[in-house]
Amino acid sequence: MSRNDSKYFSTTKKGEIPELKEELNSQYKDKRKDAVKKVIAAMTVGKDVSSLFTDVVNCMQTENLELKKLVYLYLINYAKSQPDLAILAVNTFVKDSQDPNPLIRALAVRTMGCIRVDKITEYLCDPLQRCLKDDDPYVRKTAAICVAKLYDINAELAALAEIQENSSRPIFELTSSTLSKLLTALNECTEWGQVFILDALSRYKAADAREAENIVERVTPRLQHANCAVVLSAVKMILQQMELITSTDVVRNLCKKMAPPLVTLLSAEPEIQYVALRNINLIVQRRPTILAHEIKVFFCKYNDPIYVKMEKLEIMIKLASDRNIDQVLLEFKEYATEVDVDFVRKAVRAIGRCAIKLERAAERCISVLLELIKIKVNYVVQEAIIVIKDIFRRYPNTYESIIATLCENLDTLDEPEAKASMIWIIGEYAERIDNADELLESFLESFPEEPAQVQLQLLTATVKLFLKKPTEGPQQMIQAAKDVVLAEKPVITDDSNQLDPSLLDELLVNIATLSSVYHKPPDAFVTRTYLSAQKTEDDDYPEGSETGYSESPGNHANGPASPPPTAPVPDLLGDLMGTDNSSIVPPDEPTTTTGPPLSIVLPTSVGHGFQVSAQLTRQDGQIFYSMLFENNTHVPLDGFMIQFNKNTFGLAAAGPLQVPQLQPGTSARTLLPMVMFQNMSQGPPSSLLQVAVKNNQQPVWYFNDKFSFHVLFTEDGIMERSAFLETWRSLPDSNEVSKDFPAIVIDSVEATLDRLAASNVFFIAKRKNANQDVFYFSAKIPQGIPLLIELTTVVGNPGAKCAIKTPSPEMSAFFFEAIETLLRS
Amino acid sequence: MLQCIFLLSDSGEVMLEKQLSGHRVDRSICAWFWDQAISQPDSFKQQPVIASPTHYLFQVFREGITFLACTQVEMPPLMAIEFLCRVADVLNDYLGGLNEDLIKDNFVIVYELLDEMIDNGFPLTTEPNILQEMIAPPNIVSKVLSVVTGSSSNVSDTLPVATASLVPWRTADTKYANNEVYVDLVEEMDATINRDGVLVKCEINGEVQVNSHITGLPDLTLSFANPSILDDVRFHPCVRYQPWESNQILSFVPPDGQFKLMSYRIRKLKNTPIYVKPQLTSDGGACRVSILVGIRNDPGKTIDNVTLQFQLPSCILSADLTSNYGIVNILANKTCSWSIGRIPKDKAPSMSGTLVLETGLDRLHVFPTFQVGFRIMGVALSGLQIDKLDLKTVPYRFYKGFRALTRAGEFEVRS
Repeated sequence: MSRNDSKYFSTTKKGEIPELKEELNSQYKDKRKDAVKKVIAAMTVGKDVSSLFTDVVNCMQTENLELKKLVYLYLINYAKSQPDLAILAVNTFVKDSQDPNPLIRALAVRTMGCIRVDKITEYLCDPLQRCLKDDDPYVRKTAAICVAKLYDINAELAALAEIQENSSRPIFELTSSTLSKLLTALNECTEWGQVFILDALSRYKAADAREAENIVERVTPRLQHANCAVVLSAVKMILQQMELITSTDVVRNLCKKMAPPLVTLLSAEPEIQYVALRNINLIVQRRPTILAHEIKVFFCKYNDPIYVKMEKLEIMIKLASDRNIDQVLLEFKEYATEVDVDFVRKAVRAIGRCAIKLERAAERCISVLLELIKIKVNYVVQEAIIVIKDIFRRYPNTYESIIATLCENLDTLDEPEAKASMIWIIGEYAERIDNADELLESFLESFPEEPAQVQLQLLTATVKLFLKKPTEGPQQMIQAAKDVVLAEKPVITDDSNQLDPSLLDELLVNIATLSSVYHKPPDAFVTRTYLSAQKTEDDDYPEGSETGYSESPGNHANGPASPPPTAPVPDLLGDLMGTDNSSIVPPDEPTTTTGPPLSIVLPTSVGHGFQVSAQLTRQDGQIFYSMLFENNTHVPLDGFMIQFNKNTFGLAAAGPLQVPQLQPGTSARTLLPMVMFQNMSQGPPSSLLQVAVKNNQQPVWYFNDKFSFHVLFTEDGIMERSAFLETWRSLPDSNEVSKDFPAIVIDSVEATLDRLAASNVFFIAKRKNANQDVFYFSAKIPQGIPLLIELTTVVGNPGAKCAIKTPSPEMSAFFFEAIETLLRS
Repeated sequence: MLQCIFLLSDSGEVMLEKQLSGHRVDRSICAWFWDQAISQPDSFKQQPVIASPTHYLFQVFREGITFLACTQVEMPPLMAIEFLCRVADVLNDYLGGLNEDLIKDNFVIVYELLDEMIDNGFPLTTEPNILQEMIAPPNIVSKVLSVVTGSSSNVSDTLPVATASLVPWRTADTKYANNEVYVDLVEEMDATINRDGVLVKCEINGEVQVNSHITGLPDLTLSFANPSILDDVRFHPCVRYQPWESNQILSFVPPDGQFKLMSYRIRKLKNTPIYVKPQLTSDGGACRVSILVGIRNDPGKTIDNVTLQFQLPSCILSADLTSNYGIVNILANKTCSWSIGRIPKDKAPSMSGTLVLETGLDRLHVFPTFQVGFRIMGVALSGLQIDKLDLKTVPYRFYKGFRALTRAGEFEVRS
């Protein structure tokens, strides 16, 4: 037979479907099979070949097993979209499930179980029951798996089948005798079955230490299986039972036995290494002795993928001890000169964390950090200063002799965290730095442009400097301030990456699961679960595993649980609305509000999971940028900042963007106060707003927003009739611009006038001209520029004409857009 | 368990889609995955376990092909990854390689294999011997047979006996005129030598590879002369645990043909057969390079295929490097490759030259790591020795062959 099946992928003929239909009904067997292959190939590349359903199903009754398999594959894909036609296949399925060939019996049952059509599942029960008692163990195994499928599709049917099937004995539960059978089966089933059995048994709680030891003895040989999943499941089982074993000798021996297989997982493919490392990270937090002598296996190799290197660093920090710190530091020092910048930063931080963790090694860690600073690679220097600040907090007044070296690098600092750390050091040790005031003064020069974090440190350091080197001032005030600012501070420890003990306990129970990779308990991301236990008649193939299903799991951070977000900003707008005296919201106070849906300006796909919706709005005479931030990434986002490019009206943020940290899967709304005539742009007028948004975790995002002009109309736009007439006459005719709006219909004059008034377009007068109504409105934009509007239409009929007179006719295009928007809404 | 498996080409195209359960997975997940993949700076080094908005994804990347599996339930991630690795191995075995054309040329076979390998998301039959009995690999012989016999199916009409037996890796009716077993020790030396020339870490990761052609159900025992040097071992399922635990003897009924009987690790080796001495000196915007390579601790057999490879840092503008032996190439991605071959006895190979740094840099701050390659036939550097190989049950006369090979794995020298 031909093996050049790729030609099936390239057919692009126009009459493809009818041609395939003809071939599917050919009297020649080979032609029909080729046709089915073409259909499968078309299906694979995403074409819709569902209209061929009947013709494909007719090929189903064949002696050729290959053809039958292809047809079944088609059915699995399309049965749900063609449920009525799928019924036609039932008879063949039922017949095949009684075929003399066990291969065909198993295939029929397997395929029926994959089809989510209620009628099919109903017909499935009888063949399934027969196959559960089949002579052939392969068929029985397939049928057992199919029960799990049936439960998933239709829980009631599966439950009835199970109850009927097991009416003479209790439903599956883990007892000591069941345990014994499963442990025996462990020796006899496939490697995949072993994973399921070990996972099921890990739920079992031994009655006492002796039973735990017996279980462990039966499980320990699995540590030497070639399948890494078996090894890790065995480790999980042993760790569980170790909690009950009281003999320290037995525990020590088990730790000794578990170490080599865990290490060997690190010689497997990088994908397996990564999962192993995430689990080892948990294991060493509970039982550091298991791998305490194996620090070298976590030394990074040049070709390790970056995600493996990062995990290895994390584990090395946890295993670092007074005994091995010298070789660990040597490694970290060499990593700090590697090419990958993120890896280098993490290596420098690792040195800092070891210094905090191991008091006796702190001086050696600092020596290494100083060596790295002397190399004068910018990002290394900044990272080193950050960790040295933490070391100072851990060991106050101990290592300040190195401050002079740090001060030599002030010019190179440009990262906010590094600046803040350096400023903190200067403030904290101001009395030991001769020119502390000059150093702080150089930072103060750029105070307005610095992020809040740096500004805060600068303020604190300046106050500290004043208190430590007072030149004048009332002594009493100085003393009171000293008591507050220079109070004894709590010493920090290296627990920023440690897991909460109860969370660690829960994750250890779930080693070798997804939650151990994400360091989150299962309920954090399994929102709804169905649990079902598989049952088999034949002990040769017991697979007492649990299957959990969930729908729409939430997004999850890839790392330890994050701290909760700060308290939400109070809704000040609600208070304003409730008061008689409305007042302008102070520009530096953020507010949150719910409002009409905002247009998306930065979609998730562009923002790598970060989405921004925004709209320029006006409230009580103040212009706001109403924004909605959505975090569809897997990490918390914080540190939001915004900047507006120059624009026609100089729109700019009146204050910083104040949005709390966004957890994955959450969103936040904010009203950003705006000011005008700050960022004036030259050149032709435009209603385009170019915006840049940034957060700490992602690069700067740029997007364009087009704002509607009516937002700029001010509340004092109303004019007296006489003033209107006089202004209209005084403006030359060349300032009048007209435009037709063919699609505009004004049905209700009252509602239209109200809507316009709400947007500060004020009604002046109305007159009749032939059969048309003529309305006059006035509006005003900032800087007092008046806008005189004449609107001519027939009420109830489509079509309107608008004429505008204004001292700034170059703005007419925006005026027309605004008027059209208001009339259309 | 797993709900769907996709095979993606190196341009992100879905080449194959296998729905495994009633929960149909829409293929837009592949578009999401691919957007993620190409947005990463190192695009094919994504984490193997990924949380998408709707599914957990497991990916294994081999030779330009991405094997992607989806699930929405809690499950052991290593099972998913191990299974995808197994799928990749089986397809590689069947098709003679992994690339887009081969998969499309044989997509029917790939579908058939996946059908047998996994059911409802549970791995099922993954043994190569059994799969080959169920589905014939595409090769010249099966093509000729199909023409001659008129049979146009490569799928067996009968269920292999092994699927029901306690020896699921072997069929019972194997027959050979000549019975033979070949045992190869294949070792890789992983070593790290730091900037000061200290051997930080040196270990051997080895495999006992067996190629057996014996009639029936042979029962073999294999023993080592010095099993105590083994730090860790992992066995093919055919190996019985009890004889190993008691007497360090491998007792097994082998699969037919080539398979990996055991893998092992031996650590804390004290010597490497080759030394590399790099020296980089920065001076006024340039960096002088001098690298010396030689034999140390002669293994007694020829050291072949000696190579040295390193990545020039990004701040290097140009490199002028020559050697007194072998060939030096600088590739487009600034990888420098030095092919030495065999190290001559009378002189030590050396490479020297100058690296020009980009303007403004007076010295090199990022130092390259040198990857060493070599191969030694006839020696297992770990020192592991096979003692004997016996065949129980049947008094066949059979041929035994033993070989050893050591090559460099992750052998790196930091500068």
